[in-house]
Amino acid sequence: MKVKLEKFGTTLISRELGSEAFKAFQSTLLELPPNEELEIDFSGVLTLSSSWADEFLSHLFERLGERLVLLPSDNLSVQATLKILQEANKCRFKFK
Amino acid sequence: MEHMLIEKPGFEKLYSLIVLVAGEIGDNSFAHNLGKWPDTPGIFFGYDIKKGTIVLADRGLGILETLRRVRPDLSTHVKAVEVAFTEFLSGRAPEKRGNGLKLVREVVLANPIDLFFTSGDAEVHLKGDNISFRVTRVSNIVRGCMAKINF
Repeated sequence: MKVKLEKFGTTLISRELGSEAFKAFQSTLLELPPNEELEIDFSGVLTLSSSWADEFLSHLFERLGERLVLLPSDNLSVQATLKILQEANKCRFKFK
Repeated sequence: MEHMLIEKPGFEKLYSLIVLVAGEIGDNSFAHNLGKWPDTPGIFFGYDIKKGTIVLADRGLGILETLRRVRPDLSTHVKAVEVAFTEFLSGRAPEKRGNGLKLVREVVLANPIDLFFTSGDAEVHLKGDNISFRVTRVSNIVRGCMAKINF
């Protein structure tokens, strides 16, 4: 399953909105077959902050582990945010 | 502001890091002070893209009082600001995370963005493309936090 993050907005910068997005995503997450990967597509996102991503991607990683796959992005805020999240959570995201 | 930055020549890629820095600082002002504003709720947010300046300010609890909730040993504004910018620590226990200002420090020090940040009697000047980071004590005391971003 592929999810375009821009469905939640193009400026993703508040922890509160990241938490709301994660809650809203629960029903879609239930449709993910147990052996299928969830691909996160950052295209269309203008700015991603670590606070928003921590509420959304970190929780997804806790839930899915290696089944969470991040697609490459040339957006500088996406790259910086993913780097700090891996440091903070002491984890390695899986990239495609 | 974001769209004005995107259209500013030379900022076609850098814009997202500037919005990220302003967004993290502004989000902190609300997230850590919700229901606890000592006097004036809300934040000041002003910018002049032509001059390359963004200013954010709040009259909230400030870094020291916020972090003392989870680190009671913190006794000075200087140490508290240093911890906020360098350690993964959240002032919103039992939440375990706290990475916003660490990311701000990393982004500013690696890019042509300058940040002046003050809380209590602590000040930090982060210069873009300069790896130094030092918090200093000043005679002026600021209630809450104030940040000035230049680019």
